Amino acid sequence: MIGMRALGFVLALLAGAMAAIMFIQYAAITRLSEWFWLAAVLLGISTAWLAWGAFLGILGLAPMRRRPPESDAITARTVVLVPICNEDALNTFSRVAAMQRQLSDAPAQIDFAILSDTTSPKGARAEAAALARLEDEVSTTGGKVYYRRRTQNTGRKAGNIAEFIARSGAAWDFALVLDADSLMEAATILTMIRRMEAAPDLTLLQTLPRVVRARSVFGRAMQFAAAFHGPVFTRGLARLQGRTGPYWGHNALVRIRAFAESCGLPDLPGRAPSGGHILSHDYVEAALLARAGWTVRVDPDLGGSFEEGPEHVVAHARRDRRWCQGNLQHARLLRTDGLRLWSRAIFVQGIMSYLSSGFWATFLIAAMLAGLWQAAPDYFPGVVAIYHERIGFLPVLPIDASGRAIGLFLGIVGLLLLPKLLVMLEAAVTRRTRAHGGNGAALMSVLAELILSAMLAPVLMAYQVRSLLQVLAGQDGGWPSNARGDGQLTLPEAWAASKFITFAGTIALGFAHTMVPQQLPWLLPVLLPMLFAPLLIAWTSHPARLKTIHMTPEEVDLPPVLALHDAIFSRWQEDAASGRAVAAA
Amino acid sequence: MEKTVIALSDHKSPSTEPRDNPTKVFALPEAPMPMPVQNLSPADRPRFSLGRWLRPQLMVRS
Repeated sequence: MIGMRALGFVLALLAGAMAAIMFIQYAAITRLSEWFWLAAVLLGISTAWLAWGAFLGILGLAPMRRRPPESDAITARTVVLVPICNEDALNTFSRVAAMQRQLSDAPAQIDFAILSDTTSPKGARAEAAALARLEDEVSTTGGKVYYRRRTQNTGRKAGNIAEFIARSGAAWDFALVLDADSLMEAATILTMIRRMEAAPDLTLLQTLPRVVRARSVFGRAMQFAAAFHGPVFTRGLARLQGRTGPYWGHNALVRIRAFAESCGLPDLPGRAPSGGHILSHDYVEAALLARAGWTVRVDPDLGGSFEEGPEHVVAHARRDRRWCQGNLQHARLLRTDGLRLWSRAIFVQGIMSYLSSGFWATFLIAAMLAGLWQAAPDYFPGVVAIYHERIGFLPVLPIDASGRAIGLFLGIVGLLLLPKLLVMLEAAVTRRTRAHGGNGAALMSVLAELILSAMLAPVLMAYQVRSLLQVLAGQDGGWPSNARGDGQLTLPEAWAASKFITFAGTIALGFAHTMVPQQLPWLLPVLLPMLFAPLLIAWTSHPARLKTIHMTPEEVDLPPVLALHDAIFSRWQEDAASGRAVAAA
Repeated sequence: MEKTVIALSDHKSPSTEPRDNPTKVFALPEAPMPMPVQNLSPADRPRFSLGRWLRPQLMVRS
């Protein structure tokens, strides 16, 4: 495992170094200005980061051989925690009803605790009404349902759970931490409990949640990518994790006593965004559990774990803003005493996932500026020229650097494409494609996702760069509620949310066209999507028409817990609508 | 240390013992578990220090 980590690190470094060297060789036939050197360094770092991602994907191609041990009987008492904050109460509580009813005949004590941080009086009233519905719905033979609402959201989500543990944690052994939009199959929950019972040192067991119920072009593409590529990349991560696995904050089982002993989070000195409450608390909690000697693990084979994702780019960017601030905060924890090296590496990866956008953007700017000082190409440079003049008796051909430029381009595109194409191959061989509409439909879906990703990549990069600059400038993004459900955007809404990208793209295009026209063909794939960002955002937020593209297993065969939730939620909605109609009459 | 007071609004349950009660939604039980705040400060001495190698003992002797 340590060898694997070292191999991945060395390969990523080699890929980065090769990219930088090829770029310098290509640029050297003109003149190497300072901007070229800067661009070469940034390209090297960004390529190394891409190569690391590709390594994770390739590492996950082989299936996991060993199934983790499971206990026969369940003795642990488990509570399912549902922390919520200004969510759609009816939808969230109907999820609890579905899971509670599925677990009603489980051979274990599994209770539910809804931990509300809802602040608005309207939201609190909606929760009270939904609670009454939940009370009617839950099975009397199943686990109990608890509800409490804090009026002060100290510590946000992590503080919400910490308050629960400090007050009531000793009543249970394990806690299954969910998000408001999480749903998990009863069988999966029981398997997780059995695995934790069978491994006394295991304190956190993470599942890979599958994104479900996406309707828009963007949402369904993300959903497909999570279902199709996600398991392979998670297997790659699992092969590197050892006892220091990841925690993504939800759809994970924790051993309450160990979590309580190790994961009390302080506020960081100073004010937000760098200080104050730790936003991305999950990574830190995983690192602290590992520091205390416990095992943290992700089991990629666990199915039946679901969540919902953002339906459009703007909602995605809003969530990403919070993650950006949280991950950059981890820079202050890199030297925390006693952390394992891999925990620090995970922090670095989290930071790099945002810095990389800044590196790409700065690379593009530096490469454009370098073009300003670009001299005419020298096809017989240095020694070659001297040889030609004084000694030469053989013909000397001019140096052609276009091969290097094309090689570099293909290398970087290859790093982006290769893992996904290999995943396609793996899915075809293992017949996983059948759940995605067959080989043809899966291949079309992969290609469509690649094209969409390529078009949206500059737009998402622009949002990430803005987040990065905001955090570095000391702006706190806070913790806005997640926008869930239908999120179709009109063109004016998309324009309002992305006009800064169009402006930036227009300025860059104007500069490139007038000052460095020779670079224009290389820049157009980045600048055109920026120019048309509002159109792209609005279009991808609309419902997807072609259902055979980006089909997921959950669409082909609806999982029981999703079907049960659908039934309960529809009934509650109808009752609420008829109640309103009666009240209006 | 400053004490944070958190106002809580629990579901009103007629009984504190959920399992003997026909009601199905309850207030949280009182079963405290301490959650000590962790130390996240850096190590007193860095594990790897380039400075230590660049400044050998002989050179820092006063």
